[in-house]
Amino acid sequence: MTTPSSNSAPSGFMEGNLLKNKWIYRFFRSRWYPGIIQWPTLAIFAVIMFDLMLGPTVTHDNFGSAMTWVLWWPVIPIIFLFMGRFWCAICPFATVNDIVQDFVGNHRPVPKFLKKYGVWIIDALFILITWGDHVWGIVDNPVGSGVLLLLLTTGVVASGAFFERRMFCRHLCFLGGLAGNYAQAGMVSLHGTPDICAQCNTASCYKGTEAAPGCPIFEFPKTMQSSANCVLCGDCIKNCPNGSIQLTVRPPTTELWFVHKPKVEAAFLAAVIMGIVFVQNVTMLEVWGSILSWLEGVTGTTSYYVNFTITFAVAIALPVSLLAWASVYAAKYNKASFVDNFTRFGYAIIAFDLAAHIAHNLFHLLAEGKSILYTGVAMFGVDSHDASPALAGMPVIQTLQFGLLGLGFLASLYSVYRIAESNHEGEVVWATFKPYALMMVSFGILNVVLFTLPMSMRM
Amino acid sequence: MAQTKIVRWLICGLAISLLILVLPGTVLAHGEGGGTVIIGGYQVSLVFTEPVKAGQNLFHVQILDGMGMPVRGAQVIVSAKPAESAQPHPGSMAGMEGMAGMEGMAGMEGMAGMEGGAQAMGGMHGMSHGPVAVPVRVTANETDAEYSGVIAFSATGHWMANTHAIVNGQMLMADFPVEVEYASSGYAFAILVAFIGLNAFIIWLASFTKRKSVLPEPTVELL
Repeated sequence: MTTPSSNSAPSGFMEGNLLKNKWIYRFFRSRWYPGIIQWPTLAIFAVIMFDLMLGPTVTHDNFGSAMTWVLWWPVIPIIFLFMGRFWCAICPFATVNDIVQDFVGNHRPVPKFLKKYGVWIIDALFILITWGDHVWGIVDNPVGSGVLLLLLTTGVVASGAFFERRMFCRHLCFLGGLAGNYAQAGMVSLHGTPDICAQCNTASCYKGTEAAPGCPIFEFPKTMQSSANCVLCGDCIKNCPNGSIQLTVRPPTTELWFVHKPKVEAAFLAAVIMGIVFVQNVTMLEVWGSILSWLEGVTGTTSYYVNFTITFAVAIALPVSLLAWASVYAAKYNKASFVDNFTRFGYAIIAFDLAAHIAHNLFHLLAEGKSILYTGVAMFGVDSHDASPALAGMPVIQTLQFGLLGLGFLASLYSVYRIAESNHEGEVVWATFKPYALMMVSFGILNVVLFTLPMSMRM
Repeated sequence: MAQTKIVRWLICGLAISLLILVLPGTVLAHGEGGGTVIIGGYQVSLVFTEPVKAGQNLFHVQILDGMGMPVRGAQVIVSAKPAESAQPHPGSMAGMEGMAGMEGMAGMEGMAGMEGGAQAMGGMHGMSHGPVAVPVRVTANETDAEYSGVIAFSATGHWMANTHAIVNGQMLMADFPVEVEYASSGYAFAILVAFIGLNAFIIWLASFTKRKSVLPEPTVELL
């Protein structure tokens, strides 16, 4: 049995190799991992799907709705922060992909256009699903939520049936795109030990061995420099003949400061997510009705589809435009291209995205958390309609929300500084920092205003 | 590996058992409404002919006297209001003014059955997350000692129906909880069937093409 590397492992606080702990190492190398978590998750997913499609048609009473939108969706960004893309290792869709692949998999290579444009497709899907939620009421309607999950299931069935590994997870999953961004701000990193990997020619981590299949997400730990596409499935740890793999804990957002190969589509998604947080809140404003009436006058139609779409487009265009403006302004001083600035500094928004996302959903988790229990026991005929679903009072929730927003703002601001510092020198650092700092302040003000307004419950 | 497979099948079996266990409860849990109440020596029954859905629903009210004989010539009015309307949001106490206008709609009687109105409200998604529940009031018509009418529920959820009957000058009032479901819930089965069919086809196609093709080694792109 190989042992985890002690070479090159940083020994500073929070940076030691967790795999040096024999229990953690054994757990990751165990053939029970990740199956021991993956299979119960799939079983719970089956119950959720069943309840969404055939259970109570009222969201308030639906256990599937509660599990999906009050528990899973609020908790998932917290998982990304503390455990990277661990969720993707146990995701029921990935399990379905693997099952179908085991039986009928054709193992065809991933189409080239997906490799090239996959993240853009993910961006488009993310926007489409968020838009669809507002105009069709996906969250509000258990069957709507069920249909969304069924569509994703069909996607992974097709992916597992025809293509190699987890093609859908890597190139098409909208949550995977979000997870990739958030995981880069997360606290966990998996990578090979350069000195050991340099001597290795087996590529077992990528190809797989009898111990485990190769990396399901098409990553090669030897050269992997980002956590964006590592799902912590442990396959490379099982496969590595040299014990080269390291699992380290790092301060949040560290990776954002030194992104080796920044992608414009990831930066665009970061800005889009900020816009989506805006639109989720804007539709709850007192003046939202007036805005709609005004839009109806301008567009000449009362179609909610048309008028909401315009609002949605504006909300998304706002952070993208602010990022673009800051990039143009910074380019005057740092002489980098607009695209280069847009891409590099777009990553800094991820920290604020993550904080705002958690803060928004914290309300649903803490103000409606008990609905998971109530809808769960209701499946067995126990009625608890009059009971409060709140796990915490509003002062507590708002304190946590504004605390998170503050941390997210500071983390993004600091990331801007670190990105500027790692790419420029002298006065150019501050000249580059200023427009992006102004952008972050604008995001901060908008978020604070929007978070002080009342929110609707999901259940 | 054999142990892992056994565990997988055990978990699948457990999930299926759980689904079967839960099925009867969930099927009975929605679309319910009506019942029977004894009041002032009369037995008042409210019956919906089908599971109650958002939109129009046919109902029957039957009033039996102490001898169990149907009562004729009564004036019967059925009204309904959302049981949980204006449920305050724990997070919105400080700033509910904006929502107050929406809640105020709940007092606008006479808007029953205004589906267009309900849809327009439903469009204001962010504020209400679904159509606004509007109280309704319907006078039942008598046919052979049975009082019937059509009542329109503007939204899904928990409602409270109230029968208001005047029998020989005596007022009888009874409340009946009603669970209103989505009118389109029947489509869920069709969607599921379509989903199963589509996925079965994909799997069949993959097994067909797998037999015809030689499995290539996974493409190795190391950098």
